[in-house]
Parts: sequence; C-alpha cells; structure tokens
Amino acid sequence: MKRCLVIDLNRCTGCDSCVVACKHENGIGLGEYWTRVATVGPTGKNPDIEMYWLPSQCQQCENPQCVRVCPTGASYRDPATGVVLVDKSKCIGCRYCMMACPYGVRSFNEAEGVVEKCTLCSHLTADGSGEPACVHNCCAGARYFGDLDDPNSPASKAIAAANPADVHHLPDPQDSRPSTAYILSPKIATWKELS
Amino acid sequence: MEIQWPLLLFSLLAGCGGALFACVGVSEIMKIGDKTRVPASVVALVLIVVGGFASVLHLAHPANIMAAASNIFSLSGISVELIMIGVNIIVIALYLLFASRGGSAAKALGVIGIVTGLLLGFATGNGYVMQAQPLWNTFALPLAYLGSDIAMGVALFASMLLIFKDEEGFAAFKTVFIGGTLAGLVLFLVYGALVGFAVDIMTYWVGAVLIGGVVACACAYLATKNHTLAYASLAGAVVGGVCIRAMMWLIGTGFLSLFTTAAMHGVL
Repeated sequence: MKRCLVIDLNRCTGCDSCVVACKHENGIGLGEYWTRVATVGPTGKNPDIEMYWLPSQCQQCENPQCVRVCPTGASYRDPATGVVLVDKSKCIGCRYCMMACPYGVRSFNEAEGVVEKCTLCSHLTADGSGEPACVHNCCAGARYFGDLDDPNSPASKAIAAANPADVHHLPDPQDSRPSTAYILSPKIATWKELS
Repeated sequence: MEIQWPLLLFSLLAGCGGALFACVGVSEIMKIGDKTRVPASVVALVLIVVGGFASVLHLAHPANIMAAASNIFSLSGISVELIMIGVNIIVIALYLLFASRGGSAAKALGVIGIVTGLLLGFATGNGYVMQAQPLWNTFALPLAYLGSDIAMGVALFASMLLIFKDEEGFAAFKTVFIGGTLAGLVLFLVYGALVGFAVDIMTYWVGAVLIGGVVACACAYLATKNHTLAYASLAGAVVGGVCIRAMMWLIGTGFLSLFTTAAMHGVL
C-alpha cells in the first residue's frame, strides 16, 4: 500500500486553507506547521509571466532519510499503509530527522519536545474510510488522497486522468523516492525542477 | 541553519580528547613524554566525558539519551558516536590502569588508542553526511572534523609536555606537532575545495583556515625557539575547531527547505 497525496496545481489558488485545516485538525502550536504553501515564480518576461503554488508537506518517501537517521526508531514507515510516521513516545527530540529530510517539512513541537510531521491525518484515515483535513477542506478541490497501489483510489484516479507528462514529483537528491505527486499543465505554468 | 552549540561543543571536546589520547599512543611508540602520558590521558578522558554531557543538552530532555543508548545498535549517527565514546572511555581507563605498571600492555593500549581516538573524531563528523544537506554530503566533512581534532590534540599534548617541563620530549614531538597542525589546514582546504568553497567567509577563511590552520601551524613551527607559541598554536587550533563546526551549521541550508522558504515568503 502506498498512501499519499496527489495535488493538482492547476487548481491550487494558494489560499492556505490546507494549512489552516491541518493546524486546526491536529492542534498544531503557534508558529509550527505540518504543511505550508510555497510560491514558485513568477518567472518569464512580461507579458509571458507564470507562477504557481506548491503546497508542501511530508512527501511520504518510499526510502525516507528521516527514518534512516533516527537513533531510536521513532520515525518509521508504516508497512501497512506506506505512511511515514513519528512515534512520539520514542522521539528524543534530537532533530536529526529534520536535518535529514530533503524537503524541510518536519516541525519541532517545542511544548512536547518531539518532532512532528504530516500523518495524512492517520487518526481519521487509518481504517481507510476518511480523508485528511487538508483534502476535505481544500476549497479549490485540488487535493486527492488515497493508495497509489489501488487504481480506484481518488489519488490514483487523479493521476490516471492527467496527462502523464503533467505528473511531477519533487526532485530527489539521491534515493528518497518521494510518493507525493503534483499535477501541473504547461497551460497554467511550466513545472520547475527545484534544487 | 542555526548553530547547534551543544553539538558543536560535543564534537569539539570529544574529538580533541580522542586526538589527545591518540598522541599518548604516539608518545608510547616514540618512547617520549613519560611524565605527561598519564595526565594527558586523564585530560582526554575528562574532555570526552564533558563532551558527552554537552551533547545531551541538545536533546529535548537530557534524560532522553537513555533511549538513544537503549537503541545503540541502530547504528545511526548518534549511536555510532555513543559507541565510540564508550570504546574510548574503556581504552583510556584500561590504559590508566596499566600505565603505572609500564610494559607492553600500556603500549598496546596506546596503539589501540591512536585508532579509537581518531575514529571518535571522524564519527562525530560522519553523522552529518546526509543527502538532504548538499554542503555536508561529502566524505571530506568528517575528515575536516578529524583534521581539527588532530590539530587540537597535538597542540594540547605539546603544551602539556611543556607544562611538565619535558624539553626533550617536546623536541622529539616537534615533527608530529607541526605535521598535525598542517594536517588540519590541509583537511580544511580539502573540504572547502570539494564544496566549491561555498562557505561562510568569516568562519571558514578567517577562523578555520587562517587562525586554525595557518596561524596554528606557523606557531607550531616557531614553538621550537619560543615555547610560548605552543600555547598560541593550541589557542589557534581551538578557534579553528569552533569555526569549522560553526561554519558547517551556517551553510546547512538543506536540499529544499520548503517550510523555511514559505515562512519567509520566499520564492522558489
């Protein structure tokens, strides 16, 4: 199983609803985030200027570097769902995982002294019935959740419906293999290979 | 990235302690510094233990180190550091036990200490080699840590030879002293070259290369005539050790720091 998000950047308006929904649902402290929206661009020359929003959260890597460096096994990839999680009872707050995450999408909970991250709202989705708060509350309908190994999941269907050339992943510095997919058509903006 | 001072102090002190005990091993082979070996071993032990205590201040709670210790065979960067600290403490303790009796056991432990002491310094840098940090992701980073440790270790041992008024030992150790500080300079430059000198100018060029490398090495060379300069070499090596580590944190920008970019309303 490979549960993750698929985000249609053609529809994303950068409204930050996902950020607010995530903080509200997961009780995330002031100044701490499990998801954020970055801006890519604007690039080009007038009048051919383009930009897009890049909602960013754990990429649910198949070979997560955060798990590799964790000294206590607190960071792990759930073999049943493929979701990368943090067992807070084991986390010692060394923050090695934050240094090792290629995408800088982990957060340190100062109050509890532990590292946290997007869980794909596992408390809602563990039994396979619900959906993450960011997906439920996306007012542009740009976010899809599901198992990429299941062709009938919303995430798989979104990818299947897109032009294969429009499906992208964040660049991988070595062999992390991020699962989260982004859909962006050149009609909206050209996908930038970030580095 | 912010400088993580507890981790900086850990690698600085523990690495220096490991290299100092390596110098004790070298002195066993060279048959010099009879009066200095035991005090130097005690100082090495203290440095490693204090360094270890400094590292736990980085954790959310110092007691959390017990959780890391109970997962010591995870072989993560922290685990390897813990293992190397334990190994070094055992080797130094055994050396102190046998040192007063002299003989081959002390010499053998001294030789083992050369390897374990230097490996400790290497391990404290090796934990940071990770693909998410492009400017750390090179074998030259732990070598730069090791170079700094060697420079501090030889300068500290040479200074202790002078404190214990071992002129003969100091004269015999001169080559190792100069060579050790030179190794630090060379390994700093190798690291810089391998990251295309994408470094922080003050901490790298001024602190590490100039003060920690050139000045420490020059003082080691001139200390033959003016012994006071051995202490200047030690001070320079310590400054270099602090700066090369501080620089590592300052240039640690991450492969894609998406949350940081979003927080600053930056544009990718």
